[in-house]
Amino acid sequence: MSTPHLDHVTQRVIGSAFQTICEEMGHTMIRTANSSLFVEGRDFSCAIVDSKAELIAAANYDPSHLSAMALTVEFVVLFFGPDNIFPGDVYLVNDPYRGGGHLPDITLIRPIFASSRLLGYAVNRAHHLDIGGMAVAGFPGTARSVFQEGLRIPPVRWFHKGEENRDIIEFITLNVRFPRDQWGDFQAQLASTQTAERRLLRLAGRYGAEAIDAAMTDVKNHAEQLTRLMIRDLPDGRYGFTEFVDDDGVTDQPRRIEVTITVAGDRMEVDFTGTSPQAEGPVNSSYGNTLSSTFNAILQLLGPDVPFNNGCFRPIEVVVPRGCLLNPAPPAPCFGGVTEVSIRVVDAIMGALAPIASNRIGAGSYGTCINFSGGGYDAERRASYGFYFFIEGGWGACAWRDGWNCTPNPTSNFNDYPVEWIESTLPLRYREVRLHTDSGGPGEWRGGVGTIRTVQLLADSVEINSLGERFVIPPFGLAGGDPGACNALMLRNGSAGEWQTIRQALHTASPSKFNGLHSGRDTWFRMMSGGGGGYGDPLVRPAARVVDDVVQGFVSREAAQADYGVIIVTNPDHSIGYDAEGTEAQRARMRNEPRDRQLARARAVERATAATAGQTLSEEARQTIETTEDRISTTAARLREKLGSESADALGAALRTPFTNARAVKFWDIDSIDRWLQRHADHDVPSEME
Amino acid sequence: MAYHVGVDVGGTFTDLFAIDDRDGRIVLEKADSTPDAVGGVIAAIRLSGIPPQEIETLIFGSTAITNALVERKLSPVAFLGTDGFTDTLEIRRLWREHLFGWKWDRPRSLVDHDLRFGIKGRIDWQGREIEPLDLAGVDVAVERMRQRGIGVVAVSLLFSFLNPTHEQQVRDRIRETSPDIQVVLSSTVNPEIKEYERASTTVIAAALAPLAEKIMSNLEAQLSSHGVPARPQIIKSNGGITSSVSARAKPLEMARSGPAGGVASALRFAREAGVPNLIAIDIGGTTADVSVITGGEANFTQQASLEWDIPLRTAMVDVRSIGAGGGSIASLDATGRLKVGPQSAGANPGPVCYGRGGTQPTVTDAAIVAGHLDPRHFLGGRMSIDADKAREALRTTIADPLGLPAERAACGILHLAATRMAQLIDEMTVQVGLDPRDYTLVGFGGGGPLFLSALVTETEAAAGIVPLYPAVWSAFGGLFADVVHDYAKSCLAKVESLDLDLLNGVCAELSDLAVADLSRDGYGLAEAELRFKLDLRYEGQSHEISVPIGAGPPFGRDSLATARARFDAAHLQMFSHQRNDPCQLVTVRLSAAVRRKLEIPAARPAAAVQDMPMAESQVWFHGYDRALSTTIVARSQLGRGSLIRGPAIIIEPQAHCIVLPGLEATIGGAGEILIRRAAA
Repeated sequence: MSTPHLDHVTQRVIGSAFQTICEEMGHTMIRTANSSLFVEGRDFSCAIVDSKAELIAAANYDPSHLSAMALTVEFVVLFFGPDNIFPGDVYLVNDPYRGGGHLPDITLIRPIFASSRLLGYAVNRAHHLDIGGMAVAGFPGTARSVFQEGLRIPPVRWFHKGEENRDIIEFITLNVRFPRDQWGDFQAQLASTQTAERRLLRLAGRYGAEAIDAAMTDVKNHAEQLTRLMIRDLPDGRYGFTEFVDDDGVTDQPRRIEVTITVAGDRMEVDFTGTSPQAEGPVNSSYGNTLSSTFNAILQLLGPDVPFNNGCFRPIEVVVPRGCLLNPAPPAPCFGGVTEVSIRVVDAIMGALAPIASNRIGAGSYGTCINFSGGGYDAERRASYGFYFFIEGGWGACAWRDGWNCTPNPTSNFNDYPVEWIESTLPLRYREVRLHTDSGGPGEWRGGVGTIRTVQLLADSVEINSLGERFVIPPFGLAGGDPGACNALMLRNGSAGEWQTIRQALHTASPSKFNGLHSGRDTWFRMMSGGGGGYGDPLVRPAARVVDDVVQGFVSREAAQADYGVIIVTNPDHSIGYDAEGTEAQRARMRNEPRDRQLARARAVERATAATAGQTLSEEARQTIETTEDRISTTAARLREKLGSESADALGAALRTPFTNARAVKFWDIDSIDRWLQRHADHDVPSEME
Repeated sequence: MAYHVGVDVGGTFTDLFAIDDRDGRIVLEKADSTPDAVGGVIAAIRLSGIPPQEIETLIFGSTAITNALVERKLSPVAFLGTDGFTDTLEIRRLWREHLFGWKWDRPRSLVDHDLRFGIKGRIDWQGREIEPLDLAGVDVAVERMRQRGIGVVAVSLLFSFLNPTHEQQVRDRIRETSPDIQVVLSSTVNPEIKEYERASTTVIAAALAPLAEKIMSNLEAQLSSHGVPARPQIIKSNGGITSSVSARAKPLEMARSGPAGGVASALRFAREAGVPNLIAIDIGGTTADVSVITGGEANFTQQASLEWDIPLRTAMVDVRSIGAGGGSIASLDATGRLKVGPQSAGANPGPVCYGRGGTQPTVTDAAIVAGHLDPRHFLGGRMSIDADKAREALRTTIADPLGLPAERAACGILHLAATRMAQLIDEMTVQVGLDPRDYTLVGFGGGGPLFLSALVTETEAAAGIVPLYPAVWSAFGGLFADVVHDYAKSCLAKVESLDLDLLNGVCAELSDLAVADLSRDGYGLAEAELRFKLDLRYEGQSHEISVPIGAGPPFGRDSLATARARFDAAHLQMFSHQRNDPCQLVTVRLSAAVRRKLEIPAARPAAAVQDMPMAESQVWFHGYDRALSTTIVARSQLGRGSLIRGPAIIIEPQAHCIVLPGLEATIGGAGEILIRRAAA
């Protein structure tokens, strides 16, 4: 029955198994992890990467890990050299300048061999509750360098040829604040990669390693073809959009994200030239994170039926100049790159493409995690504790439906922590979890509404941090729809105190980003997530649908009148209805009036545009980048001379040296390059490559 | 007295299955279902010719409640929650169904904002009252309910699973002021931690109450007026049965009763045939439903989703479905790659070969084209099949674009459908540390026998079994099911320092509930087998594993140590490691079962395909580039011990059993077809 070439059906069978294996990795992780961050927060991803370090399949709960995972594998292979990867190895790495996103995201990589043949790699990347540094449970909103953000780990071998190097975990867990739980989490990550190994080997045992290779090639081709079909569906042309980061935490100055997208047939170029220089505060996005975010946006257009893997990436060229906010030079801090700037990148690309892809995507979304974190000592439970809240909100409306309410932003997907669970384990008392009524941008299709969560501290001397976004510039509406509401973080003292913004109460530079503030018992915090932008003219939204919005608590009676011109009444049977005549008159009056929400957004954008006009790169960063580029080009030239350009560019060479790898040359930093040169004593390189 | 009758009320037909306990004679009947779910039962009894007064047992299984839930055809209910938290029903657990893409609709909340009422008052995480209940708020809410004509209210307050006093105060107040409003408390329905899951479950229970009341009272009345002496018993989601009186009181337990009948059949078979490890595969028109039985016990789940992120917590047999049934549509995607399902042609228009206007080839069409289904005997020959039309549709939409002969494409479709089912079986076994090689598959429903061979091959299961009457096996299940009640209560504590009085107190509470339910069903506690389980996890984890506790009650330290050891072993089996960490108790569970004994002479086949001599035919199979000469034989002609080598097709009125090349079938002692890999 065995056939020399892989038949169509068998190819389909093996292809779907890759996805299943990744899901099973995730299942193992959820069932065994300690931290609620993994279990409820789903802040991890599982992937299979092939022997060429290309993504084959992923069960992603966190899209910010998307393409960065394969980039991390590629870094590991380049760094150690492809001949130094052995069965029984497990690599561990977290550095944002080495394929990572931000420091708490720790990646485990297990090469999988069928006898001596490398089948691929199992990858598990997960956000640990703490990674040391200046903020309990992470998110130092005012960090000025990556060193303040926590422990940097280059690729290290936790296991080598099956032997555990326990020193690695001892070393790491001494440098984090919740070693016992995190120890369990490392075990869960490890178990997840073992699951992948067992399942991939079973598959290989059944169909043979060659069939696995062929099926890997086919799933990539499949994804590529579907991606090209989608791009071909878009009209050719150049499309631009400008998004802003509110501020960088250290100062109140905004940053600009400029994107120009060129669609040509079935190819696309996404160019971030014009983006602000890297920031002083933690709103820089590592190169890998920028790639992930870019593909995240593209996948929003593609939808869930396209298997996502390296094939999706092939038709898309991404240009990110070194030294800009989206490809920074170390030691620029990157903590908020993963949770915040990634969403701004998605928004920028969606903003550029929404007008030509209104059948696939829609208006801007609330777009933040807020990342309210902290901890201290809990005298009642006699233990130190940490917490990390990330929050859902309203998504943009689109041409065929209202925006989703209370849904995690595109760069994540999580369950919330049950109130009863939070109160049982932390010295916090939830005071309310309710809809942020009227936060959705009015439109013919309404933007989704956000959530209001109020929490009271029950312990003394609680340290708190935050790293949020979209507190200043609201998400855009489309086709005449209004913007959604901004996010906000407020506090008050006691149940009778006045609600104040963090800036008012604690005199921070930023309303959304701060670090290490101390608060006491009975301080109340209120996290208010905003809503999505609306789509189309709110005055043509059918009145019955506005009535239903009131019935469901999404729109207040007052806003039904002020935003939609619908006069809400109580029917004789005590249900909610509307006054048809009054509504018509009100709508007629409103038709020529300016729309306040749109004006407010325009003013905020204008201010940000002016503030970002003259931003320049720091001298230190400029010189570092110069040195890096110089080192790369001279070494690459030397290699080419020795080898002849043909062999240097061959595929095998791409995984041999960073200088012959098209991606590595775009982001490897000077430190990685120098270490590589020391490690691979560069006179050895040519012989190794022959 | 003589007849034991099982009825399975489906959307279209009501199936009846009866056994005469005097001689083992079996009666099968079918009637059209009626909207009230009961009319079809009476019609089927009449058609069957069974004298109503001779019906000793009547077991009722129905998808009516499951369907009402799925289609949201429920009575409107109001919701009372802790002030500040009533929007939980809209906010839910947040996450979206797909990571990417905007083509998704977030389901509507179970209760609209204007029928959700917040009541002031708080219980804290240790069960202490920190703010008194505001009864005046209850009165205001009740007034609004009256104005709106709402007759049922679900009450779910924070931490009520630890301290139900506030909920009970609410109930008492409403009883006092408005006795006509039915009150459903979360502390009664589902006293477990996680406020959203508990609230959602409570609302579903409240919404089902009027429907269950209507169906049950109608069933009782109609049976009695037609002279049936048996008091009806109802199949529950846990694979057990209960009296119609209990079913009314606890409608939630029927939420997933649809597929439970098949599981009950499989459980009975596992015990009687001495095959303790079974995987039951029920393949119908739109889905394949899979459940796993290990050591004679069905694998359970405590939570299911009504819709995306709308959970329901109750003890249910873990039955999982995939959209790969006879009506599943085969198609090529935009890049020309083959896929099967999840779209289904359903019963209308149905497969192309039905000739009812279906144009997209389905799994059934593929089976016709490959020769796996014989058009002359399809559905007992009652339906005329247009094989040419099926072949043409399959050729133009699938085979030609793939450059394959229609028959090979058809085999590809069948194989792809089978591997999707096999993946589901893997997910339910391998993923939780079970080895399919230790299991026997049992295939039933119209399509089960068709795929069984392929599934034995794909999953590497020990063997496959097609029972007698595979097409109506689900109806048959309830007849032999036990009376089973399940209970759970959250109880958060460290196992190592657990207060035994607390544990035994919770166990006594659960036992009391069991006593009440069993007595409604007509049994005493002495007749029941009580099994306590603990949901444990390593401290810090968020997922538990349910393990039986050692001897008791009352339980001592040694019982806890046994439970802990079992937990470690289960964790090791499922996740390849165990830990020395402290262990945490989350929930105490009790299952109270009364084993019913039904002494019946060996069943005799009822109907058979007549006048069908054994023959050879040319049939296509996946992996072969030509048709193979295949034995075609009527099941009724195969005596016990007969051996048929694959490739073969064993035909009976409503099912075709495929024996793939390399496999062989024998007829077992109970008349079952046993499929195994042929000895080399």
